[in-house]
Parts: sequence; structure tokens; C-alpha cells
Amino acid sequence: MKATYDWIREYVPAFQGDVREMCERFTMSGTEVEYFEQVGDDWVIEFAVTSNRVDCLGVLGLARELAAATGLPFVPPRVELDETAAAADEVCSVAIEDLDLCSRYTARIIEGVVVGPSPDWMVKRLEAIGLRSINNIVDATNYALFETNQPFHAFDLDRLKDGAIVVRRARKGESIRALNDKVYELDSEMLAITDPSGPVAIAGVMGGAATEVGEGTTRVLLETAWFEPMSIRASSRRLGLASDSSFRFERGIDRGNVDRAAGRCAQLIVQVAGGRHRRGLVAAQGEVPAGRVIPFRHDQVKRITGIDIPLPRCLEIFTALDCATVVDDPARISVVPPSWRGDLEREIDLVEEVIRIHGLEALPVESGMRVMTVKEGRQRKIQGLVKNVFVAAGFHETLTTSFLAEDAARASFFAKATPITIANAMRKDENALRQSLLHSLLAVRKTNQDHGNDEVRIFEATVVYLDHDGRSIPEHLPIVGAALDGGLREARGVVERLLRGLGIEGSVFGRLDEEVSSLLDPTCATTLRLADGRVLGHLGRPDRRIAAAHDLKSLPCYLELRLDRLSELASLEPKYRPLSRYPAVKRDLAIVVDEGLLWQEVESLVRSLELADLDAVEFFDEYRGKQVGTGKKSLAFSLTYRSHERTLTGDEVDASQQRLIAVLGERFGAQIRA
Amino acid sequence: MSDIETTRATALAELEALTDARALEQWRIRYLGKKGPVQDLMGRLKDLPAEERPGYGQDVNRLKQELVAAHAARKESLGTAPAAGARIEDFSLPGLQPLIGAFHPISRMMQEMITCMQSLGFEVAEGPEIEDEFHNFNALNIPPNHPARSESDNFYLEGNRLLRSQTSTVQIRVMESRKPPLRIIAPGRVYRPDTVDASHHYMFHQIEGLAVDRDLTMKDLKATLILFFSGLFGEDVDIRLRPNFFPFTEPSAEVDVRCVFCKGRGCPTCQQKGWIEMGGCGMVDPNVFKAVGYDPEVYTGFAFGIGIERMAMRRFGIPDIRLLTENDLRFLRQFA
Ligand SMILES: [Zn+2]
Repeated sequence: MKATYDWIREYVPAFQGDVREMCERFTMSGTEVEYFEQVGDDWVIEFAVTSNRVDCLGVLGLARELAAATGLPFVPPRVELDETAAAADEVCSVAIEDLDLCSRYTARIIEGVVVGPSPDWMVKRLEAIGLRSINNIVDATNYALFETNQPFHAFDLDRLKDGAIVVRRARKGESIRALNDKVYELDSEMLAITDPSGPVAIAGVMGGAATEVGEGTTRVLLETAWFEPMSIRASSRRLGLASDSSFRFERGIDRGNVDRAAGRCAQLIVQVAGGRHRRGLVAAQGEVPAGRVIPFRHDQVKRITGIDIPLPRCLEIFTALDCATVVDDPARISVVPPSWRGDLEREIDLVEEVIRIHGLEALPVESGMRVMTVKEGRQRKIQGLVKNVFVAAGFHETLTTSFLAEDAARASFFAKATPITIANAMRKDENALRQSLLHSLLAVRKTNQDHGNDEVRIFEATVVYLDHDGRSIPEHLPIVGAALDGGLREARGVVERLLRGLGIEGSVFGRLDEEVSSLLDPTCATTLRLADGRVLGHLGRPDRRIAAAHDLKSLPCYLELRLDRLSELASLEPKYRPLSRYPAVKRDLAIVVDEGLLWQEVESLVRSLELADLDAVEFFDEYRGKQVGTGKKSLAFSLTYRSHERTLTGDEVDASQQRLIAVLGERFGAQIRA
Repeated sequence: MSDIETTRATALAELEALTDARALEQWRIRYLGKKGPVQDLMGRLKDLPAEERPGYGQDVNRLKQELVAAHAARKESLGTAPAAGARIEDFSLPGLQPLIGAFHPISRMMQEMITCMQSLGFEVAEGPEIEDEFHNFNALNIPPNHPARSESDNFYLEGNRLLRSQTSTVQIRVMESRKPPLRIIAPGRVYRPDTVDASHHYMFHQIEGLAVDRDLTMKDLKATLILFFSGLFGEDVDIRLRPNFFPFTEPSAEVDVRCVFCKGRGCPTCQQKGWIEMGGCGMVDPNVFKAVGYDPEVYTGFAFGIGIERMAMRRFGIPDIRLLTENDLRFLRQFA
């Protein structure tokens, strides 16, 4: 909403501050000034009027606010009409058929106008607030609109059939050529202003071309009305047509302002276009709701704001805001807000008005809030630890959006749900909610490929959305996803370190779950399961087709883990295990076995033998090549023996080693490699 | 030239020429040792006539002192110079840095804010990003047909659901499941269909604070905000509250922090206003309490909501919001 400094000051003449001070006053009393700039010898001020203060969409409303905030008098324009003896209702009539959509409609008749250019002072103000001057009649209605916050429409009375206005719902099949010269099809949901020949205006939205005021117009019928906001919003939406009038009607303007505003506009028309008013207002109206009485308990001001604002000061504020007050009981008074303050309905609204006008600056910095302890939720804590491990391992945290193309959003490691689609998506490639971070992180890998960044290690911890029934709040599954330029063992290493950090024991890497074989390449991937068989996550090379879709030159490794299960199993207090004071004896072993044998099988066999004082079994190398023959591979590992009671002898250890070698040979046909 | 002077000349010349500690030590033994020329010259004293002895003795002593001093000086100048041909580590080479990643700047900013609020007794609460109309609107005192419900302000999903457009939804979820007193903060993602440009994104982060108790007032709100912002910006932070309108708080206010760049005089960062808008706040509207079954005659509370992106962008000097979701490693590495 734009207005000018001089225009506002015209109605608060006692205000002596400059434009900067005026803006400060407005901003600090709740009508924020976005900016102000000099235009000619005046200043244009742009206001951000909050949605509850429709009354501030006009200069008079703003002036009233300034007066209330400064305690200065508000002096509205004097409206005195020099009416002729001839009554207006001799030349026109007004009827409302649909009172539910229009509670008051008034017409004033001005005769003898001369259509022409507007005076400079009017043009200057209209242009300052961004309007174009059209002719004196139209300009006067616009000027009055921006001043009084009441929309008007001027008809050429001689072009209205019989001067007979009927306000009613449009009928199917009716149409109108509007002032913008476009033809609009109307329907029964829209309110129309009609004469016996049909619609002459779309109520509250735009007038018709056929009854437009133009050169040669001498008699004007000035419409001033109150239309139901919902109805105007519906018309405006359905027709895709908005105007300064519809903007105000659909927000709900002041019912009590209609007649006064009509007078002001009629006065301005005569002032700039000449002519005389016929006597009286031709009006029709339905039921007008009675004014509201709001009980106000003075102690609530202190209870909510924390400060004492004495009752006389509260009453002064109410008076400044044009609220009538009745003080029967000082603890509980009655407040009747003015017709333009539809936003004041409850006691709390009045408390807000008191502190708003009194000034929030009055709040001292002091507090007696009780001491409260803070617990950190377990899942949040674990998520923090997980993120720390990734960062320590060289991963950079990313922030990717939750949206994907519907097809990519199908990718899911932990559910077979269909992705949730967005009804009013802005883009086709962002029309569904993701169920995995796979595509998001591969897209980040591609971005970095384009920027020439290598050694990429990225991760993100977030929730993904698993829809189970298409209507209730979906499962928000917390996961961590990561991608790294490296092989499966590096990815697994990160996961192992993470599990160790969280004290999770007994989880097992196994063959890739069938269900995710379309996402990861089963020949280079593994599924991590808990001891009870539940899946903790998957890791491996992305499927080639997926990688190709992202146009990646080299394949990173991807991993995705369920944070809910990590959180469930983590044990956050590591337990000390005694250290042996005796030296260890270490033996390396390299065995040649079939290609298909997994290290895991060798390791568990070694452990199953329960060799005396065996402390650790550690894989350190695998080898394939001529020396071991085709279809074979060599696995090298070390065994550490250590006792808690004494120093072991080489002979004891060698005996265990011999037993182990024999069993490996028996079970796997393993040959010792020299 | 006397023998004393010859000895001095050769010894000093040899001392100057030598280049390492080993040669220096050999020199010391050769000249100052028991079988060296100085000792030898001293030995001749007894053969001289008695009247020449004192002068000669002084001369030899002076030579000895001179050579000892020269030796010490040479030892100093040789210092730790390595032996010829030894490997010299080039300390000017860059170090081999351990590979450590970094948290995203939004995470960093968020964590900083959380830590601040935790110290004031606020506990982190979380709620779903996908919400129903009750939690995103009705319970927050946003009536049906309110413009805030429009399709241009919200992402609607199938099945009468939507992506939350503010973290205030978490207030409702927490109050539904707990009884006062409570003090929470809810950091999280929110969504609004804004066209992406340098300062807008359809997905961004907010942190929401809520406190409910029997006797909370706007004074407590203001004190909490001052403590929060001084935790973030330093103790001399200056804030102001100015009235505003939000459906879920009343009285409502906007909280501004005095611009730290211009100290309030006006600069491009604060758009010449001297103040920077941080977010909205206010006392919990009685209708919100009614929606969750709290008695507004018994309890009062305050709430505030602050955007994280803008805060992080200002703090780290990030000019374009799109950098935050592009995830270019050259960008992310700057926060390591
Ligand atoms: Zn500034």
C-alpha cells in the first residue's frame, strides 16, 4: 500500500515530524514502512499492511493510525454536499435480490459534469502512488478509493437502462464486456450489477464498457456498496481478474464507511468535474450486524505483557482508537470497537492494542523464568555422533532438497511404498518426495564432476518419506546416506568404524538383499543386518543404469543406513576391558583357496576353533594371479596370541597354528602359501 | 713473525676454513689439546730468562684465550648446519593434512542456535515435515479460507496432506502430547512454493521456540530473545520489538537486531534501516491453547520463529541461497 507524506499529514495536521519520523512512528506501531522516496516536493511511502488491518489500505486509515500512535488529533475531510432540490430517486432505483452477497448498495446522482482532465494536484498524488490519470471522474473515484478505502464505480446514468439497478447473482449464459474490453462469461456463483438489459458490472471487480463514463457523459450514477468478501474473491478467482476494488472487497472493508465515503467521492467529483448532486442517497440494504461489545479485564494487560499500564492510560488508548468504553466496574470494562476494526473481537485483541499503542519499548529486560533442565533426545544425540564420524572420516555434509522426479522418487532401500506426489509441484522433475538419498547424492557427485572436483566424499543425514496408506502422516524414516570415490572396502570401513563408535556389536555383512538389487550392483555390494536379521543398511556400487542416468564418468560407492536402528542399538558408554601385561606372539598366514570362498567363512572357522589365547584375527591382503592359479585366490591374515597370565612360548603358538592349518586344509582345501 | 703470531695466524685460518662439527673438534684437540702448539709455547717459558718470562707468559695466555673464544664463536656459527651431502627437509613444503570433512553451514548455524537455546533451558523437539491441515492451520488459528492456506503458499500432497509451511506445527504436536511447563525449540525444514532465486528457495529452515507456563509474559519473551541473540552475536547486541500480526500469537511482534555492520546508521546490509529483521514472535494466542486443550486462563506462553538461511548467509557472507543446495565441494570445504 502506497501513500504520500503530505496526503497523510493533511488529516493529522498537528504532526510536525519529517518523513523519517513519520515512518518510524508507523513502523513502531505495527504498520511497517518498507521504503520511502522523494517524488517532487512530496514523499511516497510504501507500507506493508498486515492482513488483519484492512482499514489501513487507505490514507484515512493510515492517518487515524498515526494520530492514535502520536496522540494527535485525527481531522477527517469535511463532507458538505450542495444538493439540488430534485431527488436522486426520481431518476434511478436500486434493489438487492441477493442480500446474502450484498448488505448495502447506494447510488448518488451527479448531474452536469464535464468530463475532462483532472487538476494537477490530483494527478500528482495519483501518479505518486502508481496510478495513471484517466479522466476527472475516474480519477476522483480512484482518489477517493485510496483515501477512504471504499471502492466506487461511476456509471454513465444515461447509458443505464431506466436507471434501474438490480444487484443479483448472474445467470448462466450472461456475459459482459468489461472496462478492459475483454468479454467475461458469468455464472450463478458471481454477483452482478444489472439493469433491465442485463449485467452492467461484475460486482466489486470491474465495471462494464457499455455504461462507462467517457467524453459526453453529463450524468453520473456513483455506486458505493458493501459486498460479501467470499463472493468477490470467488468471482475474481474464477474470472482471473483482480482490481484495486476486488483486492479490498475480498479482505472485508468497513460496512460503516459506505455512506460517508459515498459523500466524499461525490464531493470530489463535483470539485474536479463540476455539476450538482441530486438530493439524497438511493439505497437498499439487508441486515447489518450489530456492533460488538468486548469485555475487558484490566488485569489481563499485566498478566500478558508483564507491565503495569494503568486503567486511565488504557482508556486513553481505546479512545484514540475510536473504541467506545463503558466503565461499570474498573476491573471489567466494556469496549465497543469502531466499525472499521473487524479484527478486534476478543479481549486479547484489546490487550494487544494497549501494548501496541503504549509501545513495546516500554518492556524492561527482566525475567523471572524458572530454571529448567534440558534432556537431549536419544535419536538426535546418535545422529550427532554419526555425523561426527562421517566428518572425521573426511566426508562433507550436503544439503539436498526433498523433491525428486516421481520416477527417481521410487528408489527406496527400506520400503516398497509408492512415493508421495506433490499436487501443485512447480517443476516436473521435482514433483515427488524422496524415499532414499541415492539419487540426491549421485546428483551432487555429478555437480562436482562438472566443477572438476575429485576425491568426493559426501554424506547427509535426513528423513525420507514412506507412505503406507496414501492419507495419514507418512513414516518419516531417519537415514544417513553417503557417497565416496572409492571401493566397497572403503565404504565398509566407514560403516565398521561407525558401528564401533556407536558400540554396536553382532551385525553382519551379507549378500546383497534381492529387493535392492535394482539399486546396487549385487557383484559389488553388501547388506548389513543385525544379529536378529533386521536390515541396518546397504552399501555398494550403484546399479550401472542409475549411474548412467546421472552421467557419471566413474562410479562412486554408496551407502545408506537406518538411523532409527543405529539409535536403537547404540550403546553410548564404552566398557573397559583389562589389558594383558604379557607380550603378544604374532603369526602371519597366507592360504590359497577357491575364488568363491569368502573371508568371512575363513574368519568364522578360525574363531570356531577356540585356539588357546588367540587374541585377534586380522585380514591384511588378498592376491589373485599366476602364482596361485586361475579360479584361486590367496588370503593373507595374521593371528595374535596373548595370555593374561604368562608369557607364551613359540612352541605353544606353533602347535595352535598347526592345528589351524590342518583344519583349513580339510575344510576349504586351503594350501599354505610360502 | 714470532712463533706466537704464526700459531695464531694458522690456527685462525684453519678455523675459518673448516665446515663441520667434527673438523671443529679435531681443530680444538690439535691447537688447544695437551700436545698442541699452545701448550708447547707455554712449555718454553721455563727456558726463558727470568725478566722475559712475565711478558711472554701474558702473550701466550692471551693467545690461548683468543683461540678459546674463536672456537666458541665458530661453534656457534657452525650451529646445527648439517654435514655436507646430508638430506635437508624442506619445511616450506605444504603439510600432508589429515582428511577431515565439514558440516554444512546450515547445520553449523542451526547447531549454534540450538546450543544457545539449550543453555536457556529449551529442549529440542521434532515433528513431521508432512502435515495435516489441522496442525498446519486450524490449530494455529488460521481459519478455513484464510489466504495463508492458498496453493501459492503451500505444497499440497495427495490425501489431504501438505508439506509444513512453518515449524510452528511442532508447537501443536508437543502441546498435544505434554503438559506445561514446557520450553522447546524446533529446528527444521519448511516448504513454500517460491520460485528459486538468489534469496528465495522453496525449501528452507526455521527454528521455532515455545515456552508455556503459568506466569510467562512479554517481558520473559524479550529477555529470552536478548539472551539468545547475545549468545549468537555477542553481549552488546541490541534488539527491538515492533508490533506485527501472526495468527498464532497475540500480541505479536517482529524482532529486529541492530545492524552490526553499521551500528544502526544504515548500510546496504540492513537496507539503510539500521536494523535487521530476525523473525516473528509473540504471546501464544488463546485459540492455539484451546486447540490443544490448555486453559488460556491458567497458562500463558510465548513463541518465536527465526529463519536459519538468512542468518547463516549473513554470518558466513554467502551471497546466494542457491549455493547452499548446490553442494559444490569448493563451497563446502570452506566450512571445514
Ligand atoms: Zn546496516
